Amino acid sequence: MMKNGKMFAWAAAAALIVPLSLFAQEMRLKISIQEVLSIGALDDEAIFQWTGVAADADGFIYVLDGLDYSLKKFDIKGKLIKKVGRKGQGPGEFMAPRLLACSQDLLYATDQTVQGISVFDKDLRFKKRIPFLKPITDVSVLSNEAIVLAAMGFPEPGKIVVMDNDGRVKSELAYDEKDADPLLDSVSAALDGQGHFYLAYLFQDKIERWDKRGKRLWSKNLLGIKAVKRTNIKDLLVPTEVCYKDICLDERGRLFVLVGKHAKNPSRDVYILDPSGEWLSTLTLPDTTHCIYIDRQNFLYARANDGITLKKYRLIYE
Amino acid sequence: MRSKKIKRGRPHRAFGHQSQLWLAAFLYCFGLLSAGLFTGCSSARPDRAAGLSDSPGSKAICWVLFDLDSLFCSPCLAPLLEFCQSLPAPIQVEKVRGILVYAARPDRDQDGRHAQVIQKKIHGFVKANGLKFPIALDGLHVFNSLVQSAALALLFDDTHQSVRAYAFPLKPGEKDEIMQHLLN
Repeated sequence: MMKNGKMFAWAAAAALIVPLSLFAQEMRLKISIQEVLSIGALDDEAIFQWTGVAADADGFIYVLDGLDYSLKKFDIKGKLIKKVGRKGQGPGEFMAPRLLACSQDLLYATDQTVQGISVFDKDLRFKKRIPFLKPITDVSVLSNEAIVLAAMGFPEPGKIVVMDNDGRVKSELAYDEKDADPLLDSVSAALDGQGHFYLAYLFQDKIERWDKRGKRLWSKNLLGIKAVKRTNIKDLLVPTEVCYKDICLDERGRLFVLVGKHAKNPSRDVYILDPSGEWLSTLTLPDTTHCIYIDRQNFLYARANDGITLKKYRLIYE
Repeated sequence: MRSKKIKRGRPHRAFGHQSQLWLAAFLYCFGLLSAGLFTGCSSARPDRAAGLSDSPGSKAICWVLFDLDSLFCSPCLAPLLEFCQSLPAPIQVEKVRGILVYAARPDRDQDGRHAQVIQKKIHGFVKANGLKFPIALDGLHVFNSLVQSAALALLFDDTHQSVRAYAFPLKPGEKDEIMQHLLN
């Protein structure tokens, strides 16, 4: 009993020391945000619950809306200029739209309950659905001809898959341990300009950088958590606490990590790391968000009002 | 004075909450909801109140109770939506009322903004799913414990002086049973 008590005390101390040490460090980068655009309010019909966001080089903003099963296009001033989609599993339809990515010419949308990736052009015309059988936890654009998917693989390990617009797999990388418990291989992924990619595990305290040949360059635990809480659902142990919700890169290759339950300000704190994984700063968003996105002009997008509002912020480095 | 009977469409964990069922029956009987809860809700006919007095013919009405979180889980809400969408539009308008249950958020509930945000979400959901009946927010969180594991339908039948509860997904024959009460 005594031994258990001591072990618990040590574990609690260790769990506290690591995150506290993070906050105790002096910020090496001072960063703030300035709101430049807000889309969706209580009294309009612009957004009911946005899930995925992407912006193109011309400043158009594309949003997936999970409550009216649609893909929407907004102009640079935030005016809704087109909306497509309805509930269903047919071409251009959605059941539970989730992730969105944007290349020079195309948009790639995923649906939580429908397999594959729906492809639209910039005028929101449905082009095709790229077949893909596994659940997708993130999607990024590598080029105008190739996309990168993070895919859960239970009972196989999770994989990063590079494929072309016809669904032909160009390369695959298994990033997690074989036989890992379900959902533990859920990741958010971000690609840098050199073809390296970063992974943030949703249900593990792990941030990693991998090179394009599939070698892990580093792995960081920023929260000091050994294991997240899990609950038993139909004989499967399923994690219930999100460590990291999303990651993205700014124009200078800094990694922005949206932290979940274990942050000082859950779902608002964004840890900013340099490419070697060193913590630079923490940015606290005004409202909770489920994801963050940085566009080509280095604007940051996040949620407000529980998802009926999309905010666009200018990043200000001091 | 005859007492209301509560009958059970099927065994369900939530049915252990007798007090909530009786509370629902109580509210139903005295028309409290018709005056208050449905005010300002998403509705095809927001001016109409819920109550037996405005139901032509059959003296039965059906409440469907579901949780806010289920809005974001298509498979979770599919049986309820399938049931509602299969009802003819006039039946939906006249005899069906929705109640959305959600967790209390003391930090956001104070100024009513949280409820407004949920109302907007419900508006989008109703529109996208072509629902014809009004949906009220359970702002007092009266039904939270009743809708813990599944969406429910509560059938109030004045003719038979009964309240029946059904958990979604409905068992074979239960939809017909509800329809029979609503139509006859």
